[in-house]
Amino acid sequence: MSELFNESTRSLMVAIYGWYVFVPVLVGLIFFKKLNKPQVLIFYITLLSGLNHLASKIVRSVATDHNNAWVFHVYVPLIFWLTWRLYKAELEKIFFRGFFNLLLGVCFSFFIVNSLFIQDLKTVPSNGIFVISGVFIMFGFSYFYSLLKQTQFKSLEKEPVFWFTSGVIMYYSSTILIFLLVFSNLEVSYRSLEEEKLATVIVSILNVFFNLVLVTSYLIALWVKPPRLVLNNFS
Amino acid sequence: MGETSPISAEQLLIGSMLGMFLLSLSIVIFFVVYQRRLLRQQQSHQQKEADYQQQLLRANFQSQERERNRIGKDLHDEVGALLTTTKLYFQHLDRNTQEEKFAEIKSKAFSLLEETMTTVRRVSHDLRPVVLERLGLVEAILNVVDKINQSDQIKIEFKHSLSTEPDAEYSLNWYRIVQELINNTLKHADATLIVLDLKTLQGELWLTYSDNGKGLTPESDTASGLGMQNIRSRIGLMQGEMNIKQKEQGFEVVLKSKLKP
Repeated sequence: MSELFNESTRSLMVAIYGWYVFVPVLVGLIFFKKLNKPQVLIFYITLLSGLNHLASKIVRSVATDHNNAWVFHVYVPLIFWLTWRLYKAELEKIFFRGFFNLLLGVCFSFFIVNSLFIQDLKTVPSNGIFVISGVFIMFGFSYFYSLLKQTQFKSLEKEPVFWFTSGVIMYYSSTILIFLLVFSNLEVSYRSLEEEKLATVIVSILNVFFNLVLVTSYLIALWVKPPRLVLNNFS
Repeated sequence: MGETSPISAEQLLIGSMLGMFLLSLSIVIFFVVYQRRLLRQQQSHQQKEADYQQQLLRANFQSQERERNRIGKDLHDEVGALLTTTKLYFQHLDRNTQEEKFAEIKSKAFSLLEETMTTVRRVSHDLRPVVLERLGLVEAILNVVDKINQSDQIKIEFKHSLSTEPDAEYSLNWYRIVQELINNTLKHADATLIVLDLKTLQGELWLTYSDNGKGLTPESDTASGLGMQNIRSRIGLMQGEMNIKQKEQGFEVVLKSKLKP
């Protein structure tokens, strides 16, 4: 396994991701005028992901202690807010009134408490990431549930939110375990130091792979041309 | 028995991550396939609905044309001929004509004019039955039933219990439906008895129509003919339902609609 999963593979994949994360941003900028409302939000999410990647790299190389954790403390509430806005418009009908506002209030309160009292700005906010992972998975499955409830069917391949949701479900349901097992204080026992190092590399490679899948779903969501509503002009 | 090596944390984590990834990928693929199938079904259903609407529209146009032809024929063959003959009589009405002859021509001309008026009344009655407008749906159907019963060719039993009179537009539709059904029986069924049951039930108008004739097979011309399409079209306009019962002998149909739009 170590032949494929080693440090050089990890470096290569991180390098690929470093460039690839900006491809949907570029596509979004080119087609910006043609994007519909959900696609504009997806573009902002893409842009935020790109900026987060860039900022974390810059801070890591500039900061004296090489700690870029505070970037994630800013990133988590922002990505949550944008994704919340996207799904609020899509899923408001299937939840009770006030659900989304309640969710926003509860999650933001948690992010603030977590950053101030639990995981300070020098620590990666794994609790916050774990919470948004759970909420995003819930959003994703709720979106699929709403597809089952609809009476007028449309071609999913042309639905930006479908592609976005597919990426979100695949990424967050696969990586939620990382935040649960690796970054949390749960004890994971390894038989040797060597094994622990290898496990970290493999998990890191898989994380980059799932990130590539997520970015690809952003790319498709911005690339597709959803069918526009045709209004008859009777004037 | 060999010793089983415990699963390492590395294997557990990687396995779980890949497992979750494959599971979510399967869910996504399932949704794409499932939605495609539903979309195909929906498109096929919409196509059938569009074909059906087109068929009804065609039947409607054909029916209008048939009605126009009938009115044109009535006016040309009957009213036109009567007026031409009357004109000829009037040409003979001259001051020099003998008094006896004058009175005879005048009387014939008047008689022709009266016949013309009766024909015009009949044509206009066929367009909009006066009985229906003045006395309502039950009386209008009774009028039709009486006329047919007087012929002694076929017997019609008409049961009715209407608690509310339908809207004027709906009454005309129901009247035409009854006319069309009776016409079908008279033309194609070789029946001796027709039973008509008209009633209001839970705010809806129900009509059960049956005869003891040859019956209707899905392949027969009557089943897909203009008359039946007209009935379907009228019932569709009233957002009603039509249900043809399968019977060994004879024909039975149950129709229902709201009482007003």
